[in-house]
Order: sequence, then structure tokens, then C-alpha cells
Amino acid sequence: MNEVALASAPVAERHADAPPATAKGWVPFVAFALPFALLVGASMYLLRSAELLAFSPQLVLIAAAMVFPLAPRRIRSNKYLALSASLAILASLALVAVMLVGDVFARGPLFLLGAPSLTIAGGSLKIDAFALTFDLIFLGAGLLVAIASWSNEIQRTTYQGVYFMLLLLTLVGATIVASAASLITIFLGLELAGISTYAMVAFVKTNKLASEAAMKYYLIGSTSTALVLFGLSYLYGVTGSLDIETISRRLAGVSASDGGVVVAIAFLVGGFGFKMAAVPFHLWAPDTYTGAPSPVSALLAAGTKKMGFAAAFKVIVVGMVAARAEWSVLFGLLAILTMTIGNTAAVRQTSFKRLLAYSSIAQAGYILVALSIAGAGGRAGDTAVAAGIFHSLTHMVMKSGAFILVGLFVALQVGEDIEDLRGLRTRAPFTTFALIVLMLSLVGFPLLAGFWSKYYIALAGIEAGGYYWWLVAALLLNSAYSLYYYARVIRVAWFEEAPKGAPELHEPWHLKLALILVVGFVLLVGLFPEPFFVLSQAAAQALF
Amino acid sequence: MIPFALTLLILLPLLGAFVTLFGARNGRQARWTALGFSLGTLGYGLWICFDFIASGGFGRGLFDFSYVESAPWIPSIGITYALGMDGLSFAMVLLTLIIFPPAILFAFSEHHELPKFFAFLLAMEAAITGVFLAQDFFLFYVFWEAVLIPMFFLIHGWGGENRRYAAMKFFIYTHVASVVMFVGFVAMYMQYAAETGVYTFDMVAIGRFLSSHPEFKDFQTVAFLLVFFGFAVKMPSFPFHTWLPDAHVQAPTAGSVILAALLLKMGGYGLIRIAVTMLPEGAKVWVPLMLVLGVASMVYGALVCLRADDLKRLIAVSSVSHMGFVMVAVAALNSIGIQAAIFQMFAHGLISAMLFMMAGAIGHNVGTRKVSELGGINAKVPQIGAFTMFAFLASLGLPALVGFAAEFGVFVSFNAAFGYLVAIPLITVLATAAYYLWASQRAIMGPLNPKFEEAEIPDLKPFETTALSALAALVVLFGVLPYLFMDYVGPFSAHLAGLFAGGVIP
Repeated sequence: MNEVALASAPVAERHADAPPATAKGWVPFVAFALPFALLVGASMYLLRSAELLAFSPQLVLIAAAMVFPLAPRRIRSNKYLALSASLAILASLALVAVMLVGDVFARGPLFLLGAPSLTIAGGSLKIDAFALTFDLIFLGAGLLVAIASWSNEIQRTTYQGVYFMLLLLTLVGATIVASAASLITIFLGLELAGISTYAMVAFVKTNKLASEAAMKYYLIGSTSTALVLFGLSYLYGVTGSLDIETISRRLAGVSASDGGVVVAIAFLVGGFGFKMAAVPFHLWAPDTYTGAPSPVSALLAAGTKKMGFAAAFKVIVVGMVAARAEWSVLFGLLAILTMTIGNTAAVRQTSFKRLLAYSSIAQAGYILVALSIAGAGGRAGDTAVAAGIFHSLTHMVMKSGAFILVGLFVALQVGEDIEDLRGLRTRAPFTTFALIVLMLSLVGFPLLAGFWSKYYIALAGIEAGGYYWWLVAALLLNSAYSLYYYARVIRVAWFEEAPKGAPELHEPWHLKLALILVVGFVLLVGLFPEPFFVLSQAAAQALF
Repeated sequence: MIPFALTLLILLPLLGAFVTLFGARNGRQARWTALGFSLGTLGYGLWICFDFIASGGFGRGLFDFSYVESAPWIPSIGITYALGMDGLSFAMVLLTLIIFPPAILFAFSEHHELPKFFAFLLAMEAAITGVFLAQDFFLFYVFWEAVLIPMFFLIHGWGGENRRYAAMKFFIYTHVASVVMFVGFVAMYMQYAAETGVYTFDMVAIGRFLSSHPEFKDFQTVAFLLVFFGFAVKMPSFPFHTWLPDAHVQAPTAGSVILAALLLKMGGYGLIRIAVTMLPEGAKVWVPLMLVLGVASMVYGALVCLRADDLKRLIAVSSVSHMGFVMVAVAALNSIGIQAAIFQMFAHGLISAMLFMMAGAIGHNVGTRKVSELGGINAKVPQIGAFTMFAFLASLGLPALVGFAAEFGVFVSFNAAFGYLVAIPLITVLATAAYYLWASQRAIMGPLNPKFEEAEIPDLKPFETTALSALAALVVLFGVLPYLFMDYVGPFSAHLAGLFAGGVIP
């Protein structure tokens, strides 16, 4: 048996004292899922209200999430679970896409909803282009994570159904944050996604590194949620309302140096900063991303991080637009710190996974630049918000792809270090191609997705003028700086010789599929970014 | 003319690259596929060029292009896919079309992984053609950068001993310069947007606007410096030339040919098309800089060549010297100067192609390129000797060959603009003659080096002779009948000089 077959051998064959695994994981699952889906579909049809339809992406995910825990405790292969999760997420994506197309490209009301935006659930949720765009981002990350979760790491655990339930609930929480119209809703979404991810990080109970990572993440995450709550409460205290639009109106009448506003800004930036893994709130991120199983790292880096940004866009950019001189400077400083420290730390890494963790931190810095420029207002501010959304989208795809690559390397027993990637060109040509495309895109190489996102942010900064030139300069310098470590990975994989006797690698088909999707998207956006620019601009406009 | 004629001209070699990479199963198939595609591109390109001449496209105004294709690409930022041809780009595209088939012929003698090699070559043809035809700043930048990548892989994969260092140096040096150039482009984009409210990268629109508004002198001064840096590194101009000798010495023969004949001309093309045409006020301000750098390139190149031992290094540094002629001709800012600059680029393209082919042939057949180790090889390999002498004589500016015609134009324009300083280029020609004749006397024509007495040195193969003869014929043709070329770049030069109606010297 070659190494790959050995690694995917059932657990029972390797631990003689373990109870025998159940044969087929999908039978009970389908037995419950099918009638449940029919029930949900029927009720949606019967009720047929626009409100329900607007919430339908989340409903699909919730319905599916409720079914997954019914899977048996011990399953040999979670292939069908991953497939079902992917299908559920795809269904949700389809609903989001249909709604978006109606709004963004037909320039008409949201399809099925009959209005450019819909406020539902008593004013706590607002479904508009911004919410739908971020839904797209979260669901895209979720889809890639679901495909990548069919892996040996996860398969060796018990209660795998719960893992997928947590994945779907994370997505629900994130989409709720993006659709939030009220402060409490934001908090709820953050908590839902947060708790689900705490558990996902710790899911492989036998992995000590993962458990430690989960502990760190849980403690710091809970603290950050407390900070956010405190900031939100001050915002409520100053303005007397929980509704974001009302807050933004009422805050205009309040002096920006009012103590309450200052406290609110400080705590909110701190709390959201934890979620975004901005410096100096980033200390949990490298350990968590490195210790967690690769699909979960992908979810954290690509999904929940963007959730922090969505919340920041809503609460700070929109809600506290009156105080923008203050938080603009704050975000600017954070951005420069984050980019620089993220890149500096990444340069020194020998582990590929940890390098990606620090690179995520640095990339979050670019979105912080966009957040800061959003404070400039006017045309430049609008471009900056659109640029931040665009970078969230492209970075989601790139980072998911990168962490899927790490998962691939672990599955193929290549290893997590950069040196383990030596001579990958001869051992796995397609994977090397994907690796190079993703690394170059993260650097900002022209005609790849990453280039456009940095360019768009820089454009916004140049339009804003004044002190924002420094931010643009910092962005460009950091881009050049990051070339150093991305190029090192490329050099090792492409130009170095493979170690003697290293076997040729055969990638599992589902990971290859995920990588094809990712690389295809990166190349597509690189060559034809226009539709995505339009999308980001529509989302930015819907925000205000 | 067929629709999308120019896009097809770019796509044809690109298609050839893909077919060669994925279709060719062995070296033989790769060679002939690549040759076929390059000849096909040559044929198609010549058809376009003849149509261009017949329709009088070269006589139109400064920003009036022929075969214009324009399609919105990224309207949100103002990037369009725009191509067009005028007198200047006609000359450069013609050069590209002519150079590639002989270069590919000379690559027949490469050893390993031939499909990839030829694919890279053809991809470069597509990218270089794209640079010369692009009418949108972003598209121009994309093609400009796209040229670097195949070149990097060619040097890295098929180069000499020190190829990794040379490839890296080449890439990083020119890439940094390209980024600075792009910053200049963005500055022009922003200036145009600030003044007219329209956000676009269209070269024609921005060029027309900036060149007709002399009041933005300060902006033009800064912008000129930014874009000039990018072009100066590419040309290359002293003191930014240090990447060239290493890149050339380590590159494979075909790579060197393309590098010298075409990549360097991209710098000159950009200098004329963007820096001088679109930023005339800035050009006027920086004429002393261009003059100094050009003269320094000429003189420095010539002096270093006197001491060069490796033939390839000698020819590489002589390229620096010859591109210095281009720079000073442009600095003259008169009609003859621009004409001469374009002609010198064309001439140097043909000649340096021959020179590097000979250097490659000598290195490959004799085993060494060092002048000190060679000696009188003409006795053993008369064909190599003949073509090398011919190339040397063409390069040093022997009358009746194209080098002389081009350099003569440079001298006339230099004299018109800078008076008695023309003595410096003239003395440089003297030095050029000196090092070429001295090198040829030591390496080619002199007494046979005893160690070659018994050696079996293969002479040129038929396909190599074909390539060289074709180039030699063109060198003679344009040398004896320069008007065949000058007539078609004359109107462009006249229009451009009209921008500087006062001229540098009033």
C-alpha cells in the first residue's frame, strides 16, 4: 500500500481496540434530510412571503444544519457529509446569486423581493446588495471549506456530523452580521459564528496543538466579544437607539469629542480588531491558524475575518460616519502597523502554514487601509468602501485556496514547512501551478485578482489625497516587501530540486476540483475584473 | 483590412506558443512548428505593413492611428483594450516581424526541453508586438511586463553558468523600473482626470491633451522623469545599464538576439512615443539630462568594449553604446533627430541580431567566446569569419550598410541641435571602429591560434546561414537605399518636431 492509501485507511484498521466503524454514513442522513428538505420547501412555498424569501439563504443553511447532527457517531468516510454540506451551501449560494443578479446587473429591484433592499424581522435585518455580496463571500469560503473538509484529519474524529453543523452555523452567523440593521443583530451574528468556530478549531480532539489553539482563540475571542458589547452599549447610550441608520443620523448631532463616542470608538475598534486580527490584537491568529485543521484555518482566514470587516463597515463606517475624522486616523495607524508587522513576521517563517497566517494578518491590513480611506468621504470614500469589499472577495478566494493547499500537503504527507515543498514542480505539477498562481496573486502580480484589489485601494487613496498618500505609499511598499516571502515559496517549489527518492504525488480529486475553482476565479477576476467592480460598487452604495 | 487585424497579429504567435508547448512532442516538431508560426506571423504582418504603406497611414497626424481597435475592458477604472498603428509603431513592428524567424532558426541548436523554449520565444513575440501596438497605458504596461517573464525563464532555464544571478538581476532591475514608469502613467491619468473629469488610460486622449497644454510644465517635468526612468533602464542607458552585460552573457543565443534587437528598442519606443510626444514641456526641460546620459552611454560603452574579452560581453556593451546614439538623437528634438533615432533603432536591431548570432555560433562551434583564446578562426571556419566581419563592419558604421545611414542621421541632428559637440559622437565612432577591428584582428582574421591547428571546428549549418544571409541582405538594402525606411517614418518625425516648433536651439 502506498502512503496515501495508508493515510486514508479506516481508523478501525489501525486501532484494533476501537469499536467497528459503521458501514455507510449516508443512509440515515438521506433518510432524515429528504423529508426535512421537503418540509422546508413546502413551508416556504406555502408562506411565500418576501420576508421569508429574503431570509431563504440562511433558512436553507439552518435546515441543513439541523439535520447533520443526526449522522452516526463514527463514520469511516465523511465524503457524503461533505457532499451534502457543499450542496446545502450551493443551494444557499444560488439563492443569493439570483437575488443579486436581479439587483446589481438588471439594475432593478432584488429579484423575488421586489425592492432594492428589504428590512425584515422587525427591523433587525436588512437584505441589500451589501448583505448579499458578503453572503457571497462567506458562502464561497464555506463551499471551499466543505469540499476541503473531506479529509483525513476530520475523518478521524467522532461526531463528524456536528462538524458540518458548526460549519453551516458559522455561515449563518456571518451572513446575519452582513445583513444586520441593528446592533444586537451584529452581536448575535458575531457570537453565533464565533462559538461555532471555537468548537471547529478544537474539533480534532487528539491534536494537542489544535486544542491549545482553540483555547487561545476561545479566551481571546470571548474577550473581544465583551469589548464589542461594551462599545455597542456606549453607542446606544449616546444615541438612544439600536438601529444603525438611526444611530448614524443621531450621532451627527453629537460632538465627536463626547466621552461616550470616544469610548465607543476605542472599544469597537479594539473588539472588531480582534476579529480582523489587526495588530496589536492579532496575537491569537498565528497560533490558531497554524494549530487548527487546514479547512478550519481557511474558514477563519477567509470567512470570519471578513465578518469582522462587515461588522466594522456597518457599525463604524456607516453608524459612526459623523466621527469619521477620528476613526479614520485610528484605522490608518492600525493599517500601517498591521501590514508592516504581518509582513515582517511572515518573512521569518519556516512553516508554510504559519507564513500564511501572518500573510492573512498583513492582507487584513490592506482592507484596513480601505477602511481608513473610507473616512475621507466623498467619491474617494465610496471607492474605498467598494475597494475594501472587492479585496474581501478576492482575498477570500486566494486564502481559502492557500489553506486548501496546506491541507493537500498534509494529506499527501509532504509536510507543513516551506522546505518540504522542494521540487514540487516535478512531483505535482498542477498543485505547483496553483501554488504559484495563488502566491503571485497575493503579492499583487498584474492580471491576477490580487493586483486589482490593491490597485483599487491605491486608487481610492490617491483620489482622497492629503495624508492618505502615506497610506498608499505604505500599501505599495508592503506589497513589495511581501514579495520576498511569497517569492521564496515559489522559488523553493519551482526552482529547487526535489529530495532524492521523493515519490510523485497524486492529488485527491476533490481537492483538485477546489483548486481548479480557486485558480479559475483568480484568473477570471484578473482578466475581467469589471463585473466584480460593479458588484463591489453596488454593495458600497447599498451600505449608505 | 480585416477587422481586429492587430489583435490577430498579437494572437498568432501566442497561439503558436500554445501549440508548440502542448502539441509538439519532440524537439524536431517544436522547431518546425515555431518556425512555421513565426513565418506565418511575418507574412501576415507584412501584409498589414504593405497595406499601411499603400493607404498612406504613415502620413497622418501625430495622434492619428490606423487599424484602431478599441473595446472597453474595465470601464470602472477607465481601462480600454485599444490598439493602433502609426509610422513609429510600424517601424518597430516590422523589426519584430523580421527578427523572429532568424532568431528561431538560430535556436534550432538548443538542446533540452525545446517545446518550452520555443513557446517562450513565441510568447515574447506576441508580447513585444503588443507593446508596440498598445494605445492604452495599462495595456502597454501589461505587455511591457509580460515580456519580462518569458525572458526570465529563457535565461534561467537555458542560460550559461551564472544564469540564476543574471536572470534575477534582469527581472528585478527592469521590474522596479517598470513600476516607476507605471507610477508615471498613473500620474498622467490623474492629471487628465483632474483637468477634464474623465478617468481614462487612453494614450491618444491623454497624449493629445497633455501635449497641447504647455501650461502644465511643472507636472510634465516630474512625470517625464518618472517615465523616463523606466525607459532609460530598458534602453539601457548609462548608469542603469549594469543588468545588460550579465543578462546577455548568460542568456542563450536566441534569447540574446531578442533581448538586444527588440527589448532594448521597447525603451526607445517608449521614450519617443510617451516621454517626448506626450510630455513635450518636460522633454524640453530634461534635454541636458538626456544629452548627458546619451553621451555617457556612447563613450562609456566604447571605452569598456576596448577592454572586453568575452565576445558576447563586448557586443552587449556595444549595444549600450549604440542605444546612446538613440538617446542623443531624441534629445535633439528635431525632425531629423527623431527620424534618425527610429532608424538607428531599426538598424541596431538588425545588426545586433547578427552580432549575437555570430557570438553564439562562435561559442557553440569553437567552444570559447573569449577573444584572448580565439585567434584567426577565419582560416578554419570561413563562413563564421565572413559573417562576423560583416556584422562588425555594419556595427561600426561602414558606409553602404545600414549602420552608417542611421548614425549619419544622428550626427546631422546632433550638429543641428548642439553644434560643435558633435565631435564627441564622432570620436565614439572612432573608438567603436577601434574595438571592433582590434577584436576581429585578434579573434577572427589574424594568425591562426596554434591550438586550433588540428581541431575540427564545424562551420555554420545551412539554416544558420539562411538566417544570417537574410539579415545581411536587409542590412545592405537599407544601407544603400535608406529612403525605403526613412520615407515612412519621416512624416511622424516631422509632426513630432512640430510640437517643439521653437526647437531646442531657437
